[in-house]
Amino acid sequence: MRPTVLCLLIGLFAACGKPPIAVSIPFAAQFGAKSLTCAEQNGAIRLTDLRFYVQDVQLITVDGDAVNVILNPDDTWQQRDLALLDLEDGSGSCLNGSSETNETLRGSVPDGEYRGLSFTVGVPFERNHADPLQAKAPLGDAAMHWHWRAGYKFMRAGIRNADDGFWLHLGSTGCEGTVRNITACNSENRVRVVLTNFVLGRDAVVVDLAALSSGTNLDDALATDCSSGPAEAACAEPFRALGLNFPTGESAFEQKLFRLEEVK
Amino acid sequence: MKRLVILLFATTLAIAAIGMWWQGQRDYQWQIAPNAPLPDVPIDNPMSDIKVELGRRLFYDTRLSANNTMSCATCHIQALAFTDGKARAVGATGAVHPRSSMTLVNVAYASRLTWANQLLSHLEDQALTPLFGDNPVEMGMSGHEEELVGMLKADEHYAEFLPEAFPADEDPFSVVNVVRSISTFVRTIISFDAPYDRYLEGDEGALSAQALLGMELFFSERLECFHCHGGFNFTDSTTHANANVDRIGYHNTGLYNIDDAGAYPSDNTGLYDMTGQRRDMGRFKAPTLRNIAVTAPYMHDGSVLTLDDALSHYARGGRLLEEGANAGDGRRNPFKSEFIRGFELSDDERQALLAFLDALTDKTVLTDPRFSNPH
Repeated sequence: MRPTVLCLLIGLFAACGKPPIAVSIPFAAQFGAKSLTCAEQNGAIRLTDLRFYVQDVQLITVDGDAVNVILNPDDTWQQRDLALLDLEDGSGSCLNGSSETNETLRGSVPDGEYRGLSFTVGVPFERNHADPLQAKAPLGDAAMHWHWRAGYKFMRAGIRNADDGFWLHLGSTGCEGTVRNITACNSENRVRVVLTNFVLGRDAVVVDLAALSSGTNLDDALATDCSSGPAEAACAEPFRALGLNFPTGESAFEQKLFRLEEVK
Repeated sequence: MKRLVILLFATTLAIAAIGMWWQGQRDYQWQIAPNAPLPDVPIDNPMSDIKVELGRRLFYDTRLSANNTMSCATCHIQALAFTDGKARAVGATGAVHPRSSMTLVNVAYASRLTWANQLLSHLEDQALTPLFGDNPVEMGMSGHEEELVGMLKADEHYAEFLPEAFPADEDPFSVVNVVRSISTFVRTIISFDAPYDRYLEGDEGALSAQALLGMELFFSERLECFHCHGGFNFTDSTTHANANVDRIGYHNTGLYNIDDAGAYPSDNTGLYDMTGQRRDMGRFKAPTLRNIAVTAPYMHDGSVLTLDDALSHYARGGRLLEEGANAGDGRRNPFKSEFIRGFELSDDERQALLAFLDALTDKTVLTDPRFSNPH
């Protein structure tokens, strides 16, 4: 039965009209203008980790309406409303990673004209605090679960040069309850990202780790790390780059980590 | 009518299942003193002898670390009351943990696990951190889950007993059954056979006159020890099967006061790292004092070398560090527990207290073959 006939028959007006269109949204790791990989390069900045969950992916119409992107569920990277992006391949300096990568969100939206993209770095509350050993992909990844903080690492990101480095583990902190029975978290630390002017097929989402580490001295030979702990002073600057107040985790600034660039 | 029959059948099945579970719980024979409280066991991981034995093998199996160099027992050595004698634990790849390995003796009675994490109440949840954590790397198994499952299937013992231990599981070769088995074994590591216990049971000769004087001091309002190290397990974070109150205690004992505003070293701020509340700075769980004489060095970071030094710390009402990065007078720590007030202690009294603490050593649990390496 053709979709149009089906529409007429069951009167689902909203679903009528044109069939949905497939969307593919690429992500790329960069340090400023330069692409960033795990490969060792003489003293230059290289990637040590870059994996993150995104939820609530939406495209924004030319009229300013947000439309949910329904992600194509698979058994590895995506649920309908949640995906794990993995921009490291376990080689070179990415010692904690794995060879599998996932650099693209794949899904569908109703046909239309879109001029913007939004998403949230995070995992929805219920799933974030459920039992990781019973979780469906992409939540079954032990490297992304933060067992002692009772939720997921929403993002693992890291860079290093010859003798200095920086890394961030982002996730909810100050949670109440007990593991598998978390009731609330003081600092949810989810990052809402809105990228206006995004054009499907033209733009990639650049994850610019220079922005994330801009408040960190990468030449003092002191590796800096932030694991989202409310007591960690080193988290203030990276949180600011994520648009988050530290340590409350509330959205307070414009995020600088994600930006658009035309696909080369 | 047909519906009613089905409903009746389903109800009967459900009741039978619950009954079997309950029977299973009751059938398990805890090998502990008859008057000891029974540990609280999660409903979804009931005790069984076969799981205990499986867990014991897994606990001592170095294939549970990514480079096959360490097992749970590397940091939890039976002769040291399942601690490791180190100030700070060291992982499979050499990474040093900020904290000291805790004893596993009577951990079945712990209402919260680890030094300072109010979220962790079950061993099944805690076991995932040493296995998979990467900051610091402990056993380093993150990314090696498939190898682990492959090892379970290939090993003669696990291949035979995992399906038997978890008969309801379609696929019993899983990480969840590894942590369930290990947790079940660890729950059996129970100590109620110290001279102190025998004294309580009526053996008046079990404690020397010196130890008895130490006991009196320990339970005195002058020394205040028992406020945090109280109850049958000598810690205020204790629970059991019939407990109806969730008892949890975290205390700042004035070990540090780096900025004179209460700070602890930044890699070890205790509960503050979890909550971000200033009042939680330096608050750690009071560990059990059972077998304390064999678990040196002491405190969350192993920074107190002997029990004698620990007594000096409490007698002073906080530790004074005169130099170094952590210099400061812990006695003035604004977040310090009200029970750490300091006290005068004569030499005789000090020796008496040490004798009492020594009488908490249960040689049975340190040598019982049930808890030893089966490989």
